[in-house]
This record gives sequence, C-alpha cells and structure tokens, in this order.
Amino acid sequence: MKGSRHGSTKENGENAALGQASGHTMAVDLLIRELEESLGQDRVRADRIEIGLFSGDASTFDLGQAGLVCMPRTSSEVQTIIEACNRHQRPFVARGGGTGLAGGAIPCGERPVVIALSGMDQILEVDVSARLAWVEPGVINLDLTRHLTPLGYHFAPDPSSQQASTLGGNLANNSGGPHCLSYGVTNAHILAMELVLPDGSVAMIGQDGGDAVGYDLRGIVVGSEGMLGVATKIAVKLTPNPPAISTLLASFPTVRQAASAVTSVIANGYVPAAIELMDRNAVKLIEDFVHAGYPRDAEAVVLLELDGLEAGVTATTKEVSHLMTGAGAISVRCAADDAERMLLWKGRKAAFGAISQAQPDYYLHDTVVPRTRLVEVLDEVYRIAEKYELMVINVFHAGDGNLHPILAYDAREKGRLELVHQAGREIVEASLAAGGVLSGEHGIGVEKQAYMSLMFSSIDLAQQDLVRTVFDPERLSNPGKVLPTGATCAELQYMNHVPDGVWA
Amino acid sequence: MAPKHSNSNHPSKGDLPRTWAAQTLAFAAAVGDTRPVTCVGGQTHWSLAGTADSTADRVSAPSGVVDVLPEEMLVRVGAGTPLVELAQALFAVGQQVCLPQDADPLATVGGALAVGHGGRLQLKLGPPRDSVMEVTYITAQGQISKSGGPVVKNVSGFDMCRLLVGSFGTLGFISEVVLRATPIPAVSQWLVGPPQALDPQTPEVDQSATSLQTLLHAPASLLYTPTQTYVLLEGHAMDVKNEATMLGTQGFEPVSQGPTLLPHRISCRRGQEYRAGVDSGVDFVALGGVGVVTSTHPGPKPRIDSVAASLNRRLKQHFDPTGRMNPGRDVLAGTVETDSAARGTLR
Repeated sequence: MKGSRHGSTKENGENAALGQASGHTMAVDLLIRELEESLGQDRVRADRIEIGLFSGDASTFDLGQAGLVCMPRTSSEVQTIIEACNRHQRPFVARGGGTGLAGGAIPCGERPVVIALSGMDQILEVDVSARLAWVEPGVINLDLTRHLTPLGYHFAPDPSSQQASTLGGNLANNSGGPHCLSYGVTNAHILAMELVLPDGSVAMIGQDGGDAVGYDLRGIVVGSEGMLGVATKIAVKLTPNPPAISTLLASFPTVRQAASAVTSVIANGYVPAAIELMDRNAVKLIEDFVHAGYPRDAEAVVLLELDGLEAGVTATTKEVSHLMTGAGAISVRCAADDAERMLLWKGRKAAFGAISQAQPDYYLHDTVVPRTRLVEVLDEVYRIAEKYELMVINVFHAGDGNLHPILAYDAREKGRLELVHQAGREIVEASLAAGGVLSGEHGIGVEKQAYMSLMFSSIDLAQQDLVRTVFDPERLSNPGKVLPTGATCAELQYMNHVPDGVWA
Repeated sequence: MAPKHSNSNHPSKGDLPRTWAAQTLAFAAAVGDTRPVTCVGGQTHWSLAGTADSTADRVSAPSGVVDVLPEEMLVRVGAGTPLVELAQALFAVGQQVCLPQDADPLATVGGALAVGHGGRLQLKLGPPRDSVMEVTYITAQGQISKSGGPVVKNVSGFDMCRLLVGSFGTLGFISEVVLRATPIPAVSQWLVGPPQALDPQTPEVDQSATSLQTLLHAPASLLYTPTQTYVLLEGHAMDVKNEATMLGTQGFEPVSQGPTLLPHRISCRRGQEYRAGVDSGVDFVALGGVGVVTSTHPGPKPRIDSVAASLNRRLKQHFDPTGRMNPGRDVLAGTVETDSAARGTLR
C-alpha cells in the first residue's frame, strides 16, 4: 500500500475531478485515495489528457467522459477497483485496445472509472494437448497467434483490428473477422473465463472441457459488451494451422455479379475459410495505398481463401474458380506462393487505412443480411449513398452476408456527419427489411442502441434486460449501452452538459 | 467441401409461415401464464436435471421443418420436430446440423437443445449451442419472445439463445429455432485401431490422443473405448485415403461404424478423455478432444463455482419467479459447488 492523497495527479495540477464538483468532492477524494493506496499513484490517472484519451474509442461518437483511469495488473486489482466503485456507487467501464467501432468502450453516465486492461497482457498457459490457452484480457489478438505459430496453432477470430484489439475486447464484442466464415466467431473459441462480477465477486464460468454445468453463463457474457462483468482470465481454443491454403482473387465487371458469385459458392455447398468482397472504390484506394495487385479495371473483386488438406483444397480451388467464371468473373487468379497470398490479404486489411486518401473521416457500418439478399441490399446501399451524395466504399465479409459499407466524408463540412448518420440509419433499415440483423461483429454499443427496437419487441428487450438485472442490478458495469432505456438517453443528454474538469 | 446438391425437396415457402405463426400462438396459449407446466419432447433424457413434477400441465412444442435454406446453410424448425425428421430434410439437400446424429427416433430438436449435449461429431461440428442462430420461445409469462436472427453471424444484443440451450426448459420453452447447417462431406470413413495408452511419465495427458491429433489435421471424431480407438475421417476422397493410409501404419483399419455413446456423461479437461474414462472404472466411450466421457454409470458430481451457482439461481428467480416452467427440473441438480477459496486458480 502506498501513496499520498491524490498523488501525482494533483501535483501536476491537472486533476480533473478535484475541488470543482461541490457536492461530491469528499466522496471522490475518498475513492481516488482508496484506489491509489491499492494500485499505487502511477496506475490511477485523473489528469485531463489521459481522461481525454480514455473518453473515446475508435467510433465517431464523442459522448463520453471518463472520471478516472485505473490500470490494474492483476485480477485482484480489478476486483479491488470494482469493489471501490460499488462502495461509492460509481459506474465503471472496462477497456482493451479501444478499437471498437460502436462506442462500446465509451464511458457513459456519471463519469465512470475506466478500467484499462491493456497492462494485463500475459499469456498464462498454452496447453497443446488440450488445444487451449489461458490468457489475460489485455493480450493483443495477433500477439497470441504469433505466439502460437511455432506450435502449429492460431486463434481463429481475426478482426481487422487484430494488430491492436485485445482478447478481452474480442470477448466483449464477440468479434468476427474474415476467417470466421468457416471457423466461427469468438463465442465458439472461448471455453471459460474468470469473471469479476459488477458487485466485485469473482466467478469461474465455463469449462476447459466437457459439458456446461448449469446455464451457459460463458455464452451470455461473450458479446455482452462489458455489461455483465469484467473477464480477467480467459481460456481460448487453439485452432491447428491448415496444411494447405489456396487464395483466389476474382475480378468482376459488376458488383452484382461478384455478390451473385459469392451466393453461388455457398449455395453449391462450399464453405471457404473466407470470402471478402471489395468494390471499385475500395480497389482503387487499396491499390494506390499498398499496391496489392488488385485489378484496377474491375468493378469488384472477390478474395476467397480455401484451407484444409492438400487434395481437397486443390480440387475445390478448381471447382470454385469454375463457379466464379460461370458467375461472370473476368479473371480468377490463385496466389502462387505465400508472399503473393500475404500481399492479397495486406490489401484487404489495409482497406480502412487507405480511405484516408479520399476523405479525412469515415463511418464504417456493420449489418448482416441473408446471403441470398446481398445483391439487392448492396443496390440499396449505393442508392442511399447517392441520395445523400456520400462516397461509399464496400469492403466486407461477403461469405457471412456481413456488410461493411464505409461512408467517407469530411467532418469539417458543416452538417456532413448528420447526413452520414441519416444514411446509416437507412442502411440499417434496409438490412432489417431484408431479414438481416443490426450487427455482425461490431456490437450495439451506443451506435445502434436506438435501433434495437427496430429488431426486437418490447418483450424481447425486457428479457435481455432481465439478464442485465441478474448480473448487475446496480447498473454499474458499462452503463448506457446496448439496451435502449429512457435512462440512457437522459444520461447522454446529461453528459453533453458536464463541463470539462468536473467529475460530478 | 461438399458435392453439389439439389434444393428441390425443401418445403414451399407459401402459406407455411402463416400456419406456423398460428402454431406458435397456440403453443404460447397452452403454456399460459399461471399454472405449473412441463414441456415434453421425446422423453429420451427424462432422468436428467432433477425429476419432473408429474402434477404439472403438459405441453409440446410445435413440430415440423418450417424452411430449409441450403443456400443460406440455415434451417428453421419447430422445437417439437423429431431429430430424425430434421436429419432427413437436411440430408435431401446435402446438409446436416450438429445435434446428435445417432439419437433415439423419439428425440426432438427442442429436447436436444434443452439438454445441450453434443453427439459423436462434436469435435468437428462443435456443441449444439454454437449452431443456434435464432430462437423463438415462450416466457414464464406466456409471452412469445425472440433472440438472434436468421443469419450466420449476429451480435445484436444479449444472446438469449446461449442461455436457453442446456437450460432444460427452466427459463422458457423453445418453440422454434433457426439452426446453422453444414454440408455433408463427400466421403466419411470410420477406422478402428488399438486403444489409447497412458504415458507413465505424464499420466495426466493422453499421449496417443495428442499424437493422433498431431498426425491428423482435423478428424471429425475421435472416440476411445477401454480397448479400442475409433477415428472418423471426412472430406475429399484423396485426403481421407491418405490419412487412412497413415493410420494403417499404426494398426488402424476401416470399420463400418463407430461406437454408440453411453447414457451418462463425465466432463474432464480436453485432451484427458481417455484418462478420465479409465479413472471412471466402468465401461466408457470417450469423445476425444472435447473433454467428455460417456459411461455406463454416473460419474462424479460435476463441480460449479459457488458464485456461478448463485448466478444460476438468480437467473431462474428472475426469468421464472413462480417456478412454473418445468417444475422439478434444476440445472444445478447433482452438482457440487466449489469452495470459493478455490477461485483464482486456473482450473
């Protein structure tokens, strides 16, 4: 136990909380002191710059304001923070890499304590015989796969943010990625976890093998966006690296034909490891940015990967190539070696970065539609973009029907962001009208909270809220997300009027 | 990868949904909102999770394959549908789901999901919980509720499908589900070989199983009995042939079928299934790679963290405050709560 009152945050004169919020100062002082004594002064931050850094995430939403940032290194420290939050009735938000696009890690409500988990980044155990690893939540997705590569394994979910997003964040969002088409999303790859509940108690849920005992608490926590507790140790499934991989790039004269080709592949009983579709705008930007070797004259390209044993991959490559050609592909190219394969994927993964060449800002959407409705929903996406005179770039997980229309814009142009949000709502509505869902991998966060009632009835939402009540009756864990409540709207309104420097 | 298939045999999409909506409403009305009620499927696992209250009203979920969507790799099916009927409908389009394949003819989709156990192909297809994309269910208040969606990927709100699978109908009664289907592989081949061996140096690990999993890329099933090891290879004919040839050098030979799973299930850490089977002291068929041993006799009581157990009880209290849904059933029946002091350890 160490630390003097307020420590470094006060010494540098930038403590955002102290001395300004009249009614709560004493309680806030006490909370800070308790946390500093437990974690040390250097891991309890309240200066304005760090508060600002941890008040947003990779989304376009600028609604959050953190009250304090804590940087635990152990499960028991997380527990200590949450227990302190309970004593002081202060909400808290766990955070990984901050790469979420739906505002799930934005601190909403009464200036929550942000629990920054990126320092809990140890791979605790790798057991190849059990095909599992225990990791801390701050381990970066790609770091785990790099660690496993020499052993012949990888962690299958591979979100585009995998160089920065953490396993804890992947768990909270039930993250996807291109290769989830055949391997499944994060929920299928989380076996068990140690969970600090919102009241500070600790549960071990799930199993590292065998049947679930009791209700599948593990399953409901994965994808719950940090509203049911904070995972502090996670058991993940290891996936063996495939002996053979074949990566195809097919170019098409129209987006419709490319989308039809994707539907045709699935309808004919093939389950590739990944099928990605990129439209003309995307191809141009990617080529200018990383020179991935995509054909510039194509209206759309499909990047398709097959993996498995040698004979099956070889035969399926021929069959799928034939299907693509039959669907109107101008050309179908198979990566000749690993270098070419990596280059083709580099193009896909660099797509979001490439957008900055066109516009300074972009809004990345995420809906899922039945694969057989891809063509018509894409038509509607282009129509909506044209209506609002917005540049749209389509780069998405076509095999899953997971659309990612990117609306590129310049936020400095007055009223532009409002148009982007309006167009976004229409894209969501078009996806739902086609039998789709609100989100395939980004989650609801604050972005789509208001749309939940478009997809779910009041009865459905009340059932989901019951889960929240069971896990977090005090509504302290990541408040103001996912479930649309009157209180949430009020919180957001309230937040917009909290002046800087006040931790109310 | 599967061969091409026809989708000509799936039900028409004409007036079936209207009829189906009426069936769901009728099911909700039968469940009601007041009296104790038991949902009955094929009663093939009736002895699990406590004892059903015989005085409660009895209802059955709607039965029928509503819509087979091979091009989406999805199937919409009533919970009261026999597994066999579902398997036949999917077989016609070259697909399958991960529910137990060798089930009793009476077993239903809803029953299999209420129990939540995987079958012989769990190593390849995963547990049933991973294949439920959408669920329509009747709440304890007699209302129709839905979670998930008819797509293969979805993170829209809390996923109630997860809680309902394996809940033994104690939180709500499943009326209808959308399941993810997968292509039936071009070739399937069971092989049988010598039993597993326990390495005296590291007895906690099934050495042979580890080497089998290293030798084979992705076997569809590994089943261990006290005296034999069964492997199911699936995929392209040449790949199956090549892997079968490799196994032949280790004493494996083709066989028409693998063993049937036994009635009782024991959970263990993945990779330790054979050891757990031997330790059970009775006849067993272990599911390699998934941490499950099936046996002729009940095993030790499963353990559950005391805080997790408390969460289980609170879920039941909130979703079914009067305890009217499947009275007598308890997902914690026969479990042992672990000392909270053990928490913080990895396993």
